[in-house]
Amino acid sequence: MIVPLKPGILSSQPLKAQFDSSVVLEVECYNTHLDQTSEVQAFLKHGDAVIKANKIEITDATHANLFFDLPASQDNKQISPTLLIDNPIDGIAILPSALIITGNGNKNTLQKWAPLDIESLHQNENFLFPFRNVLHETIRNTFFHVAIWFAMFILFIVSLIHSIRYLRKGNHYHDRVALAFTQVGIVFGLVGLATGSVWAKYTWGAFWTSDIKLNMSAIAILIYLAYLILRASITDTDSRARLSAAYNIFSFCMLIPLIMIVPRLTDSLHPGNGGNPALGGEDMDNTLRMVFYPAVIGLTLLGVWLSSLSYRIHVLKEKWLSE
Amino acid sequence: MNSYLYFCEVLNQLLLYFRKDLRQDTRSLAGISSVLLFLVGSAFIAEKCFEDIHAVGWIALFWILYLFAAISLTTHIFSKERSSSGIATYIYNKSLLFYLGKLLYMVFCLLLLGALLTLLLSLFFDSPVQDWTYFIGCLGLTTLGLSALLTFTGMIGGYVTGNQLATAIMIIPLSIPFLLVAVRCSIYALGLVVNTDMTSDFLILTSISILAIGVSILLLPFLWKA
Repeated sequence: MIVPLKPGILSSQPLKAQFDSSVVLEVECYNTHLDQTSEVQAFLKHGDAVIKANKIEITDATHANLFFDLPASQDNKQISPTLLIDNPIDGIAILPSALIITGNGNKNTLQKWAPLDIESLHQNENFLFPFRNVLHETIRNTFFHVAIWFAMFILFIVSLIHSIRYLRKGNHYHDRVALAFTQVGIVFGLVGLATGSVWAKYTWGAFWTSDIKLNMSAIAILIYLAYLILRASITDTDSRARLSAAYNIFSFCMLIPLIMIVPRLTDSLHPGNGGNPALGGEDMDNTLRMVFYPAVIGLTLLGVWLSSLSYRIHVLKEKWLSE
Repeated sequence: MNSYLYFCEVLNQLLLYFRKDLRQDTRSLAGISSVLLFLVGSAFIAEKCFEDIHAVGWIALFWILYLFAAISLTTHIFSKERSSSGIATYIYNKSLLFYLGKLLYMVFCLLLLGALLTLLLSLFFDSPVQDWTYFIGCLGLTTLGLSALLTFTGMIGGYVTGNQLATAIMIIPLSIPFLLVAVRCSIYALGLVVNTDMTSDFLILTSISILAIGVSILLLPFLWKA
């Protein structure tokens, strides 16, 4: 929690400029120490080429005014370059598509942008989480929201295995374990929905959206709640165990199209759907991975511990009722 | 020749179950007439409420009425299967054939229901369906998948005290994946979306239906084994 984010650029004004003119960008940075160093550099990068700011006025640690002389363009094409701010303390901060530069019709002067001198840039060697626009500090919710869903799936799979084993062996131990894991899985699912909801409010603007994955997950929780209701409405112990095991297996099989297939058919705001990045090779930062994978393991173990408590309560309750 | 005879026997048995269920329902008309009344009443109320309805509203109304009529039909059909007679059913019938007979009957009932509902809604509102082949294909596939789901949950519901509510609680969340894909498919039939990729939706609908039937058949013996 105390690991800071990498330096980033929150905003830059104005959003529009013209070729062959001067522009002053007022930038607001995040987690930077601009006032503690004199070696601040700023660039506008388009493709492989950059123009360097000819003057930088630093207001405080996170605010600065950058003066750029925009060259004349070869044609009237409009471009939206990336803004880079570099200093020895923080390393590089990036704002993609910082502003839109449009042509002014003056095609007489032809001035090329210079290639970027990578050697002159600095790298921040500290352990930092990535700065992403829109997400900002909420990027840490990856450790809770995503990890809880992973843990929930593992709990439901364990419950499924015990239901299958109950149907094969007929041992009531498996039935109780399946129930305990399902109960904790439902709690994890509700916590997953709640953390996702808070995250959605911050990044998408609303607690609940029509996003397909969100609604499918809510339905999945409803299916498992129906499992609990089914158990509650059968009085005979044997048929309760048998039927609920059958229903558990059936509902898990229906869960796969619900969560795995249907969301992939439509666009979703979630990562991994509709072309958004997810956990694939280059999609997640390695610094996040160092916390995320232990979080998945830790939350799964927490779920197993809670399930074992729930199991023991069931056993005690049955013992107490039979006495 | 032997396999041919076996096939004939299986078919005969299936038809026997089918006829038994049909006779049971036609003898006491209470169940069928209640579903009919529900359909006509809801369509009538919808007509009075909306007067004119957009194609999206038509298809939404269609699937909602279809789902609820199907649930009440299921509770009606399976309320006749008492839990006490489960073991007798298990001993005297081949469980797979019994299930297939029930499934066949459910498919028949739901198809009839779908046809009736289409007719009613087309009568009260103008039918917005552009491509009847897609619509019927979509209705048929959804019916197949929903029948498998309803037969399975209906059989579980037979053991539950206060089974009508429990069956509905089990069915509604489970039927959503079917209905979502069904709505997508039927939207093509209404000509609201021109999508070149509609075969994948139909394939998904088919595969969810086959999955539901397969899992039901696997779990079937455990529903009776008391």
